[in-house]
Amino acid sequence: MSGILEVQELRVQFKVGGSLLAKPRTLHAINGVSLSVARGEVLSIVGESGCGKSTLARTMLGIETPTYGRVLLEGRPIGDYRRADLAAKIQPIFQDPYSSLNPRKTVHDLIAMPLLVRGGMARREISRLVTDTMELVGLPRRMMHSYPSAMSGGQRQRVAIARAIVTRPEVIICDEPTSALDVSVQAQILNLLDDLRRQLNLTYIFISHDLSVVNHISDRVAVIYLGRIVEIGPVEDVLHNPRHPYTRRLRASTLEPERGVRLPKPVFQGGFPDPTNPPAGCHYHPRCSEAMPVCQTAAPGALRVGHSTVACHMFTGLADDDEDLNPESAQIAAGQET
Amino acid sequence: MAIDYGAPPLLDIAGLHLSIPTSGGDLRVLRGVDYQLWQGETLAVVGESGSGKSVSSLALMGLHPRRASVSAERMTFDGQNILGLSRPALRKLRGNQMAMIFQDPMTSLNPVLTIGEQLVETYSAHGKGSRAQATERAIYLLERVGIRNARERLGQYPHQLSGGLRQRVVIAIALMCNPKLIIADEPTTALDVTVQALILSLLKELQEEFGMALILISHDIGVVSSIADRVAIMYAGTIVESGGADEVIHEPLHPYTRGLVDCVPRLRPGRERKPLVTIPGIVPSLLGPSRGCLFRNRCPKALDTCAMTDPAVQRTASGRVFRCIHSEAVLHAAHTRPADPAPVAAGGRA
Repeated sequence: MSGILEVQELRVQFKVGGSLLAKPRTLHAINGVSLSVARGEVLSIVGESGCGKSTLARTMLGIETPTYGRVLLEGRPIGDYRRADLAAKIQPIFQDPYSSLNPRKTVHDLIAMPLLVRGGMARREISRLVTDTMELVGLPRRMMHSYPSAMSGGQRQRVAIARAIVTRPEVIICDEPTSALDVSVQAQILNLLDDLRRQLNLTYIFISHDLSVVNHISDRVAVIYLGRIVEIGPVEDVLHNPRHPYTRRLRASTLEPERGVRLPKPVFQGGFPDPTNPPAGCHYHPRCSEAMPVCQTAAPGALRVGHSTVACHMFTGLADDDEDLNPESAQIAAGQET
Repeated sequence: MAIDYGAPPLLDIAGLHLSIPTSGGDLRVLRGVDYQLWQGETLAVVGESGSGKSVSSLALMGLHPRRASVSAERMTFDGQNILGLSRPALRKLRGNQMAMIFQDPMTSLNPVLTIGEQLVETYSAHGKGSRAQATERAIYLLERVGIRNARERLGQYPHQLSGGLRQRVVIAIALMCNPKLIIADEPTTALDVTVQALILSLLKELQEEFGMALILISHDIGVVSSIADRVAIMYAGTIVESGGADEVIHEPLHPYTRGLVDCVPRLRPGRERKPLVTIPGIVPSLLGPSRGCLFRNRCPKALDTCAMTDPAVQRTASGRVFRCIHSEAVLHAAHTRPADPAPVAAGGRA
């Protein structure tokens, strides 16, 4: 069964640093990513800054054009949709509600915007839909004519959520939706997102660097390192039984307010590599404590381990034999052959 | 290094008030802050935006806005009264005896000076020694914070370094004059988690080596519980609870602390997908004087009397301090309800 959103062998490249004398270099933001999201599912994408997670989100929204590969929404490439039709089906929520809302528009106008873009609706109908949506996200009606500057961070993020769901889309791309908020407000927004998903049968792509938040909200997790998926699978496996050394490192670096949790031993090593000149073989090998000679030369294929799919040479020969039965591992493998 | 609580505190603040005049009236940002800090100790000041956690540290360094008015019953650093100290006198202390690490190294470093110049500047400004000595110390500290090829790095500009490296440079600058106190305001919030863990371990290690006191300002309970000796929880310009880090975080007394700890999602296996605990309502206005407890409108334990009288400051047998109308016994009983999820052992931690 194919998912509502399919990413197939996606590559997104940018030219950077070109000038009269210097040739532009190519930045491989997404370097062969394949994944499939089922209707009603929450798939989280985690990774460090610069790993390509936001580029992936922007490509799914049709803001960036793939260099290679494609994104299918309900079986159709997103490039084939008219802009208004795409906007009616897939919508974003961004990190910072202070910069994602136009300060000169009222709450009503901000939320109504996607409906105006789609067109073909009477004013009264639009207003009714805006009021209904405000109620859904817990914004009092009296705020309809307020401006964002008069609102708290949590209220602004509710406006951004209302704007995203007003067309009743199928898929919402949430790009770090709570990282600019205080923890007590974060809890309110996460609860709201979970309620809305159930009520409106939404599918979320949830981009985050916070594993505790990801653990709370998602069904499956994909871990990205330098434009490639290194591990993907159910939350229980990826976060609580991580296989890939990078996922394990992320897990160990997450500081939990539990008794006896102490800081991990500091390991000084190279920082995040240059995405215009990624390391050969496995991109993670310069930072990896388990690196073997083969890791420097060959990019690992995707292997099925338990319920997860892992791209790491450590599991070669140890992986389950049924890897061919898993469409996702085949996809990842295909995506990583240049 | 063991902390000697019998010695006089390095920093002693009592009844610190700060207000900023605005067109709508005085904004009372700090409403009586008290804390003490000992040599070699790490105190975490925790709160949400607008709680006054950053301003309270800026005030003790004299870095608050000039139009703000500050008063305190007591404000001493290393035995010296620092309240009402002139700006030149404060400048002698800052960067020398007390240093600050800010959240975003991209804005706290000067983009048009090499990191070498920025390291040496602090040392020379305080007349600590010659330029050559300053350069030697800069190289030593850069190596100490884990920067390889330190000598070559001195000639580089901040934009040539990654975020984690920049924050290490900021830490090295803070250490140049061997301060007695470092104030770190959300030092890892702008960094990735793997880098955050490195920077925090580094700070802890350096603190033990140089015997500094550290004030860590943070909103992240996970960060705080991994590094702090003591914790002070701020809400609306006052410290509502303070005490040993483990006690305050794992057995909170004040209802606000309880809410703050409970609303953080946890990385535990076997989650039940229950809604997260939330603190209803919003932060109160800080304009003008107030009566009663400022948390009462959001508090599940509020009584009518909470609006009438300011909550008393209470001290427990183990030295914890909290501001609430309820007694320790009442709060303790209220919080140990059977519905609490049993803490799960940290299984799966690699």
